[in-house]
Amino acid sequence: MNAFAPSDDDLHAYVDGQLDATTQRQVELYLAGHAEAALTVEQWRQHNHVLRTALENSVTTPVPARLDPFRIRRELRARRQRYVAMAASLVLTLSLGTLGGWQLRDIAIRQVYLPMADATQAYRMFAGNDMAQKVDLRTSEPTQLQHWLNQHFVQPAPVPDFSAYGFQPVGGRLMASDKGAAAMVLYQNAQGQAIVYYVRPPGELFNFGAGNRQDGNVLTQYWRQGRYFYAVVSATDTPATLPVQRAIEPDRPQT
Amino acid sequence: MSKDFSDDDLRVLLPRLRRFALSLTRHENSADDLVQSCLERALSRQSRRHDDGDLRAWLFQIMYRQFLDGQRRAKRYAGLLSIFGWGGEDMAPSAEEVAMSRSALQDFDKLPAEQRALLLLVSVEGLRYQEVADTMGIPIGTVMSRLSRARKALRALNEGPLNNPSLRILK
Repeated sequence: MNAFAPSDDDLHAYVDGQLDATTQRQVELYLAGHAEAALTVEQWRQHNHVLRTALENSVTTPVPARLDPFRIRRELRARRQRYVAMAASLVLTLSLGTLGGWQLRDIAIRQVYLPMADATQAYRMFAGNDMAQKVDLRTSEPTQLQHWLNQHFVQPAPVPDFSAYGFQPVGGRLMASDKGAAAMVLYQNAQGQAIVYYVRPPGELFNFGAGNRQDGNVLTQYWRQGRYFYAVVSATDTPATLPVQRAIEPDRPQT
Repeated sequence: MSKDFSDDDLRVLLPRLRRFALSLTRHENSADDLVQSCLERALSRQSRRHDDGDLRAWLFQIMYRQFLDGQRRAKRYAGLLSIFGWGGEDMAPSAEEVAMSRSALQDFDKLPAEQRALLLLVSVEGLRYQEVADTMGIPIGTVMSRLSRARKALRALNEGPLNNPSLRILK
């Protein structure tokens, strides 16, 4: 008689045929000498047998057509296509709505927003007779003005040279805009007539292009270049500024 | 076993899947529903299957998880119903159920679902204990203790208080 005594787990594994050969022999030997355990094991074995025969025949109906893998695959594919179509239409609806909304907003802003209106205002304020007293930087040296602009803006466009039309820079002044610093450069000709060159960061409305606007006898010509918006504001009631205006917009009518 | 399985691979396993589903749900219609959702899950997750492992065990695993999820949902639903004053009535036994309720299955059906699943996987499907543990998502120690409990319960049911009282001392 050996001293081997199988655990409960060993007995289960014995019934289910999951023991290695050595342990199986040991369990057989043990059961030969222990009637009580042998009875238990025999009962389990019978349960196994009964269950197997009962459960193997438990499903009596033939396989329904809806369980066929081919059909399920096909339905999954159809369902996926429906989802994709649904998602696509959702995205389309959303983007149409967003786009439409944005356009409406643009139109609404455009109705109350005059591009570069602050440049026009700057002209009205500083193009008077005593303008020379109001500038921050009094110089007629274009390189100095350029240096001053470079300090306040990132890569601004070069200061325009209107000397061919009789206008010389007088000075520059820093202005405040709703989106940060703006700047104006004042030009004057020998008769004391003035032109304002204006630089500012883009505001709420990003997508207006080049254009012009006339308020009374003041013409504001504006365009976008790189990071900033630019404008040149000049008077229309004098022939002296006409060449300047034409230089900015070559296709401007000869009025 | 390759990662891809064909429709025929699945067709061969269908009887086993239906049997397992029936042992879980005990109603043939809901069993076939379970098989269907198991196959749908398996086919849509085909790419996520590990290369190694038995297709049958993998499908059993999916089915068992879905069954547990369904039970959890049903429990929540029953809770909701009881809030509104409707009792969770038992499903009426179907004709199929009556037909299959021979004595062995009657006893078997009285066991809790996790013991039924375990006995079927071990006794009928002949899965290794480790495979059963993987399928049911429990440690192997729990497999052994549940198996022991299930067999004890089955024996108690088999013998019954009237059947063979003298043998009850053995327990």
